[in-house]
Amino acid sequence: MDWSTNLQMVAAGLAMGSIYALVALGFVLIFNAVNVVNFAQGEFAMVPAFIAVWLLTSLNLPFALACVITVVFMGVFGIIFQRIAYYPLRNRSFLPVVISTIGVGIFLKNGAQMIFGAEPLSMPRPTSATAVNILGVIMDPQYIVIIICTLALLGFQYFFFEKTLLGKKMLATAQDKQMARLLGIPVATMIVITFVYSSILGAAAGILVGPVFFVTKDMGAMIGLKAFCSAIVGGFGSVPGAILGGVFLGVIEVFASYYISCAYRDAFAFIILILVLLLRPQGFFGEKIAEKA
Amino acid sequence: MNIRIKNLLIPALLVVVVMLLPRFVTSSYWLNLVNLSISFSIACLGLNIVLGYTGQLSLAQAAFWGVGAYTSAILTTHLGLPVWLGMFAAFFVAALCGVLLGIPTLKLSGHYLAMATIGFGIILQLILVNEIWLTNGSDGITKIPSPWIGSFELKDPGTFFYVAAISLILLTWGAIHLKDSRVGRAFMAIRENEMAAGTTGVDTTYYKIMAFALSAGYAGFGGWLFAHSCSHYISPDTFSFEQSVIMLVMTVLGGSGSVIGAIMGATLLTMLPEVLRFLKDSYMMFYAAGIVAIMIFMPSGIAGLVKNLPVSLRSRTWWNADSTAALQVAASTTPLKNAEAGLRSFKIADCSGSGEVLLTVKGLAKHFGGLKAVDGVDMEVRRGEIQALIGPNGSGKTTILNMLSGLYIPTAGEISLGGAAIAGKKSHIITSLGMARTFQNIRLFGELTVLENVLIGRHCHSQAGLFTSILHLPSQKAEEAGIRAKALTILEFVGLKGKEFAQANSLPYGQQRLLELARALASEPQLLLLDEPAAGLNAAETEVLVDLLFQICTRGITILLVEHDMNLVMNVSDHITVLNFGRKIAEGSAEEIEKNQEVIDAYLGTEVGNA
Repeated sequence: MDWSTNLQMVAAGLAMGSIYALVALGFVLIFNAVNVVNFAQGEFAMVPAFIAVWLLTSLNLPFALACVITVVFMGVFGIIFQRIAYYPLRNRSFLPVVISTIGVGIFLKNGAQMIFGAEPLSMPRPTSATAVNILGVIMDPQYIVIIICTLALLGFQYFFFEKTLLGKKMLATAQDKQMARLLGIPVATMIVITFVYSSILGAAAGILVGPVFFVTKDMGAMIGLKAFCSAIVGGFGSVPGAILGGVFLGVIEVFASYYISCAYRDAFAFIILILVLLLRPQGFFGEKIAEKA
Repeated sequence: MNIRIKNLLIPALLVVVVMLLPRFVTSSYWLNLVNLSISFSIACLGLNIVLGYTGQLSLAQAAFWGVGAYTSAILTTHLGLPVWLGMFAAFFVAALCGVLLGIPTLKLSGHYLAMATIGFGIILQLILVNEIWLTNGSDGITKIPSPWIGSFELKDPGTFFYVAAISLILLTWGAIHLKDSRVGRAFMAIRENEMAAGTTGVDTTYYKIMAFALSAGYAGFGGWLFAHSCSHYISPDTFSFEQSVIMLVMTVLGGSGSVIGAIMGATLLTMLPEVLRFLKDSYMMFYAAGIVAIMIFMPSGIAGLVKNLPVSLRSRTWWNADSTAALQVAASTTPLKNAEAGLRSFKIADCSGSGEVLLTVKGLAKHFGGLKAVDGVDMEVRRGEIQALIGPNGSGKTTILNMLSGLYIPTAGEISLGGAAIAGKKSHIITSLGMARTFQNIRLFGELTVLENVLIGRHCHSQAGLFTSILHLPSQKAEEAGIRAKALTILEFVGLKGKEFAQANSLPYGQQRLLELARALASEPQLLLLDEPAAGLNAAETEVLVDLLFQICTRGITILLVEHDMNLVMNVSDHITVLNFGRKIAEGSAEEIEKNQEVIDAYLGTEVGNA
C-alpha cells in the first residue's frame, strides 16, 4: 500500500467533505429553525458558483471583491427564497413545502442554464493551479483553501451561536418558537436570518468547490443530496453531526471509489445512508425521539 | 333512475370514450402522448397508494417505473420472451424492489424516507448506466417489440391505445375498491395515526411494505406500457430523480388521496409541455414556477377544486340519491329492525370465569436512561372487574399502559394476558390477543369518517387480503357487510348513531372520546385499557361515560382505567392500584384506598415532609 496515495485521498476527501459539511449545515440550520427540509439547498451552492464565475471572467473583478459581491447577493437570495418557497406555506404540512423547495430548485437550475448557457464553465482559481507538495503528499492547493476556509467559517459560527445575543436568539427560536415569541424575540426575523445565513454557507461552498470541478447547472443536485445524507448520517438536526457526517462521507467516498468501484462513486453516500438508517436511525449524534402516547 | 342503470352508466361511458378516441385523435403524435400520459397515470395511481392512502413520501416512483420498463425490455429483447409475460414480470419485479426498499425504510418517515427513496433511485440509475452487459448502458435498449394478439401486432399507437386504456381502467377500478376495503383502511389508518393504527390491530410494518410493493407494482406496470409503446426505446436518463419529482407533483396536483385526481394530474402535466412549447428554453422554468404556485394556491389539488364546484356538488347529490345512500340506509336499518336483539347480541366476551385473573404483571419496569418511570410493579386484573390505576402526575400510570399495549418495550418484568406472555410484543399482536386501549390525548383517524374509524377497529376480526380487496370478490363483500353491521351496532351502543358518515375530527370533543371507545370496543377486547377517559368531559358527559363503563363491564369486558377524576374512580372501581414514583404503594377496594395513609400522603404530602 502506498501511503502518499492514501494521504492524498484523505486530503481530497476532507476537501469534498468540507463542502458537504457546509451545505449540510445549511440544511440543518433551516430544519432546526422551521422544521422544513430545503431540497433546493444544493442549488444554494450552484447559484453562487455561477455568479462568481461571471463576476470573475466577464467583469474581471478581483477575487476578494467577487466573493464579497457573491456573498451579499446570496444573502438577498436567501431572503427572497424564504419569502417564496417557505413563507406562504409555513402553516401547512411538510409535503407542500418539500415540493415547493424542489420546484424552486428546478427553476434555479433551468434559470442558470438560460442565463449562462449549457456549457460547463471553469472558475478561475485564487491560487496557482500547480499541485503543491506538502511532506511528500501532492495535492491540489484548492483543497487546502477549502479546508482552511471551512474551518474558519465553523469557528465563526461557533463564536456567533455561543457568544452573541443574535445567535442565542436564533437558537431560542429553533428550540421553541412560541416561547421565543413570548420572550419578545422577533421570530419571523430570526427565521429570515437563518435562511440568509444558510444561503451564505451555500455561497461559501459554491465558491470553494467551483475551481475543483466545472461549474454546471447540475453541480448542486448531487452536492445537495450528499449533504443531506451527511446530515442524516451525522444525526439530523445536530450541528456537529452535520459537520462530521459531511467529512466522513467525503473521505469514505474518495476511498471507496478508489478501492471498490469508480463507476459507483455516487452510490456510496446513499449506501452508507441506508446502512446508517438501518443500524442506527438516529445517526451518530442524533437523539432518539419517541412519540409520546 | 334506478341503481342498476346508474351502475352501468360509467362502464358504458368508458367503453364509448375508449372506442371513439382513436377515431377522433388520428395523429400518431397525439396518440403517443395519450399513451404516455396513461403510462404516467398508472405510475401516479401507484404513488397515490403510498402517498395518498398510506401517507409515506416516496421519491423513487420513476425508478420503479424504470425497473418495470427495463425488466420487460430485457426479457423481450435479450431472451425473446412474449411481451405479455414481460407485463407480469414488470409488475412483480418492480413490486419486489418495492419490498426491498420498504424493509430498510420502515422505521423512517417524512424526510428520512424521502431521502432513502432518492438514494434508491440514484443507485438504480447508476446500475442502469454501468451494468452494460444487462442494460446496454447509457445507449439504452432499442427495438423493444410490441405486444401481439394472435398474429396481430399492436404496433401503431392507435391499437396500442386499447391495451393502455383497458389497463388504466382496470387498475383505477382496483385502486378505487382498495380505498374502501380492509386493506385500504389499514393504509389510511397508518397515514392518520400510526401509533393508534398499531393499537387498533393493524400490523403497520406489514401494511407499509404492502403499500410500497403495490405502489411499485403499479409503477412497473406503467413502465411496461412505456417500454412497449411510443418510441420502443428506453435509456437510463428517462428514469431520473427529476422524473420522480414530476410524478410526485402530478399526484399532489391531482389531489393527494384521490384516484381520479392522480390521473388528471398525470394527464395535465404530460400535455402541458406541448401547450407550453412556444416558451422554448424557458419552458422548464415556467413549469417549476407553476409547481410552486400550485403548492401555494391549490392546497388540495384538482380533486379538491373540482369537489367544491357547484356542478359537481349537484351531480354528487344526484349520484348518491338512490345508490350509495340507499345502501347506507339499508345497512344502518338492518340492525335497527331487531334493535333489541342487536344490542343483546353485542355481548362481547364470555361473562363466565368472572373473578379469575386475566392480566398478571410481575416486576414490570421501564427506565428512560436514569429515570425510573416504572420500577418493579406487580399487579393483577381480575376478569369482569373494573380496576383503576391511580397516582399523582408522573407516577408511571401511562407508562404502564404503554407497556401493556406494546408501545414501550419493558426494561424488565413479565406481562401475561389470559396466560399468554405479551411483554415486548408488538401492539397489533397484543390487540389480536384481546386487549384494546384509548389514549389520554385522543388519537382518532381524524380525516376518516366515524364509521371507518370503527371499521378499522374490526381489523383483526376480518381477513380480506390485498387481492380480494382489489378484486372486490364476493367473499370480501360479505365480510364487509358483516363488519359494517357490527360497527353500526357498536356506534349505536356508545350513542353515536346518526354520525356514521361525519368526519371524525369534526365531532365535538366528548363525542371524539366516545368514538375512540367505540373503536376500541370494535376489536372485541377481553381487557379494555382506558387512559383518562373522563379528561376534558363535563359533568353530564362524565355521567354518560360512567353509565357506559358499567354497561361495558356487564357485557363481560374487563376494564383497566387510569383516571384523575376521583369521584369517577371511587364510583366505578372494584379494585384500585395506587402508584407513586413508579412503584406500587397501595392496593385494594375504594374504601380501603380512601383510608390508606400512604395514599393520602402521596397526594397531599406529609406534614413531616413539609416541616
